[in-house]
Amino acid sequence: MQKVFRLLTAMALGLSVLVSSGHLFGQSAGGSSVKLNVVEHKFKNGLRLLMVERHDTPVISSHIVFNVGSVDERPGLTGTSHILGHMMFKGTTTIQTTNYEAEIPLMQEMDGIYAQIRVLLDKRTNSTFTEADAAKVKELRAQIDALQEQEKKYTVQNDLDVITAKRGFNGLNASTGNDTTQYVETFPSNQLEVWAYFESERIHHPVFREFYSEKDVVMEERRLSTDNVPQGRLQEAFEATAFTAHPYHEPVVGWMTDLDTVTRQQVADYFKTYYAPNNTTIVLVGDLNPDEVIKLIEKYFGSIPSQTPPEGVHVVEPEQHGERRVTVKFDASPSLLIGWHVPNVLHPDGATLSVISSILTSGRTGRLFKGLVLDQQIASNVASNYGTTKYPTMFRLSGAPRNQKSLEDLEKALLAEIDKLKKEPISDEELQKVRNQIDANFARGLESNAGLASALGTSAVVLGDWHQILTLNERRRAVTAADIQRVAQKYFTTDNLTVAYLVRESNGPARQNRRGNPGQGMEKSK
Amino acid sequence: MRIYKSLLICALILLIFAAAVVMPQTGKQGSDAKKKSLGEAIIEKLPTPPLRWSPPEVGKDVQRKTLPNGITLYLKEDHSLPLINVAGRFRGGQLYESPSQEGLAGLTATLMRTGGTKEMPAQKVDESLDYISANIASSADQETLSMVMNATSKDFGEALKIYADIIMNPAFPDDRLNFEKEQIKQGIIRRNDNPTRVAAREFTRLIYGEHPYGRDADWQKIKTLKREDVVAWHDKYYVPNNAWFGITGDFNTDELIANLEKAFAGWEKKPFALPVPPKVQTGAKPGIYVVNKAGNQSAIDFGHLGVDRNNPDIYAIAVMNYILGGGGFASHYTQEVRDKAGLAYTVNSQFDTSSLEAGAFTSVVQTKTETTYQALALMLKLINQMRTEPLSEEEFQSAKQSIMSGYVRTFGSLAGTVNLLMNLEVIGRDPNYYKNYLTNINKVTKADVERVAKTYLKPDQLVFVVVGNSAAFNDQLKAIAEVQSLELRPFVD
Repeated sequence: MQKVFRLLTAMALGLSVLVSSGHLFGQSAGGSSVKLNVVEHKFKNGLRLLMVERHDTPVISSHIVFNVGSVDERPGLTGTSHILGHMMFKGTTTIQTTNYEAEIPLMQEMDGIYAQIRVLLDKRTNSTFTEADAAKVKELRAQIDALQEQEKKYTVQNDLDVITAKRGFNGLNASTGNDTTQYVETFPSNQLEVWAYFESERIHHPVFREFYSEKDVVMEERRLSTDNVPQGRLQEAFEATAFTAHPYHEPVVGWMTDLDTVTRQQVADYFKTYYAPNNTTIVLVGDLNPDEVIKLIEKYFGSIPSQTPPEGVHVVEPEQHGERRVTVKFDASPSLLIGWHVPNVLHPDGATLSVISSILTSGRTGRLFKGLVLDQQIASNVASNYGTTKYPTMFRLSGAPRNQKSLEDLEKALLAEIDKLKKEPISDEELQKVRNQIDANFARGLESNAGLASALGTSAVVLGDWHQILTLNERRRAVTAADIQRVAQKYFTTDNLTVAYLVRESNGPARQNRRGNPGQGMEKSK
Repeated sequence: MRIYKSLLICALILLIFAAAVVMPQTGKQGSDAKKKSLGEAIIEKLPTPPLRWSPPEVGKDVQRKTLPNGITLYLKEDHSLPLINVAGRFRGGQLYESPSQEGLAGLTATLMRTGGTKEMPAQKVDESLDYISANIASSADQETLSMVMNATSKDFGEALKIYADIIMNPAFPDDRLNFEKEQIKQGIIRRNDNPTRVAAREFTRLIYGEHPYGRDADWQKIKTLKREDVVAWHDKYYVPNNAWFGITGDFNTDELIANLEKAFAGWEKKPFALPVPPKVQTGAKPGIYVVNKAGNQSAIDFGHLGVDRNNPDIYAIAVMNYILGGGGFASHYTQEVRDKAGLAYTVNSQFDTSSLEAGAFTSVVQTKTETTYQALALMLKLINQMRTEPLSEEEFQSAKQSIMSGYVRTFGSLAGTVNLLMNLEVIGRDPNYYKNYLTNINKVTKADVERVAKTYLKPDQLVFVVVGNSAAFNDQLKAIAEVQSLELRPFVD
């Protein structure tokens, strides 16, 4: 559910960071007095700052979390949060330019030409141009390329990356999800003021130069992460089937035609609406002095005006009445993704749902690995997911059948494990095991500066308060066997179920697995 | 950890930049490096206090000890969290498998973790570890075998007992052996699902031929591996005088050593000698190998054999590759192929300078089917520019400065730091490698970088693997090199 803007440094934000409770700083097991030395500060313009001091190595990890994600997009503008994330690396009125004033007319001219292209894009039938239109589009695109080349006279390629790399920052990156957009970096602690300057500049005075070539990059990203990858295709089909009214229906990366038609002005408007200080949380963990940081941030971010808070999402996914199924054909081995509509973790049942996820897939004795992979040998792998989300979400199970076994076999076996949760109360020993894991995993989540920054930022923005990390731990520890049975019965019903299958569609000479893969009962050849 | 020292990195890497010059596009490589943006001029005036830090060292920041039976320990106490990390390493790995042993190092490592011990059946091991939430993972790399553990300090005693038992007394039962072989088979059956993985794997196989570096699970060989092979591999490599444990976290050193001596009691020294690894031979003929697979994007890996880690030019090569395609968004590949031309999301190069035998120079890109030729031609142009055109002083300095000022981040985690230092000894690398790294990078001259580009980038030796809709680009690619189709090996049971 998470798109990384720049390189494929996969981040699992919002998936696993909030699974825990526990004891810290040598306190004994079962202790609930977790102490996290978080310093929180709110600035006059609404900007929120969270800090944790750690002086082991002179480095600082930064997460800047904007309270906006694909959930805030509208039809025709899917993928805009993600494109905006890309554009935030293209400089400002000072960064990446030697003369911003001279760039303005060139960018305006490009936008004018693009308006002509958009008219032709809308004339397409089944995404195909007429011959005349195709030639015209090609000519217009060449004009944009030429103008972009002219603009290079006044720009410094990849300036922000080069400036920061020279000063010891790791490759700056960002990722967006359904609910948030996060900008991340780790840097030597003596570069704090450099960090404050460029991070405030790009909120204050960003310039979305190289807009058209960057949209091409984003389309390549979509091809790489979704179009040509079985799991990407499967997930996109699953979400689009499970959600009908709620915007979790839309892919974070956006639909290809929306990526093609979105304009620079639309992205700029989106930026204006959502990138306000009162919609932003900065998290810094590492070799820092909180008082100095507050002064620096006041100096650089203090003059950015607060805005009217943006309109939130009002639509609620209507109750599902009856099972939904979808099939995706792809040249790959079969796999499946199934799930049920459930509330988010703030709901009273949320802690129980996350405990159920641990029961099913934590460690080699997790019920699904032990039952389906090890003992029954129906699956070659299985996973469960109940993420940290702002709105009601899906409780998901995924897996791949062993060869000789079918997707139907696997689905049946998964549902049998779910039935067991409904019918038989979990033993005290198994529940205690999960609690022990909650304790240990909480501490593990705090080991790295970047991991802690991510957990705090996600909790603060998605759940409204960083303290939810701690509260959720306590709630998870308090879950009983009766809770688990009740919650399983309440949500894991057939009428509330969505099932997505990925089945093989071989083509060309790449059908190398035919002979040895009797799982081809699932294959549909052309 | 307190590893602040008096070395002033900032002073070491202080550089003077020319004033901002607006240059027309010349087509020369790195021409933008001469320009300075308004923003950089502002940033240069911002205060950056000196960073008091130097790379951590054994004996000062990390303690090293040897136990009577030959186990070597690297230790660092850290009481900030109630956790203990153990990184166990043994010399040995895939590089030392004979052709008939292909897959044995990995299979043995997996079975140690999943097959139980002589005293404790597999299921009991899993249950005991999961109950106290102790994670143990066992794996094999080219040169080393690993057994790593993360446990809470509260339950560390029990976790350590199981950890030691797994290392000393694995049971290797036949049912688990067959299960793990079957799991490997499942992976083989699925290995052609993702085009980028196909490209990476087939490229490596082609350039290395039969050498272990080029191997990838061959079911015909793996299915013949027997319990006695696994037992013999384990007996040979998992011996105390071939064992290193890097331990960090919430422990008291004296107590920990007493615990380790108790847990590994009875584990006796044995004669051990590492076999001589095979040399890399020249692999497939240069040219373009096309795997036909439907889709709207081509996945491409290309490159050739490179250098081993004992080559004196590794530092100059590191700087050169940073500029070409290794330096993330600052590299020529990213600036030209991604940011200017919009041809790819991922484009980069790696020049391996850390392998015992010859590593590889590898370029990676994925681009839409229609621009396959265009992207490849552009990358070749950048390689050729790197070899033939002079580098700008600004860009050269910027690359060096980036590598050096980011170096502190390498040591951002305590467990990682101990692991890095210990690994130097395990693989027999210069113990001062990390200590001297900055000095060695700093010594690299612009002439060195230009020389290694000419010497080690070999356009006429490039092997390309292109996975995609071949009908759409095969003809165009002939302008680059000879094109032949590559059939993926069928899975046969």
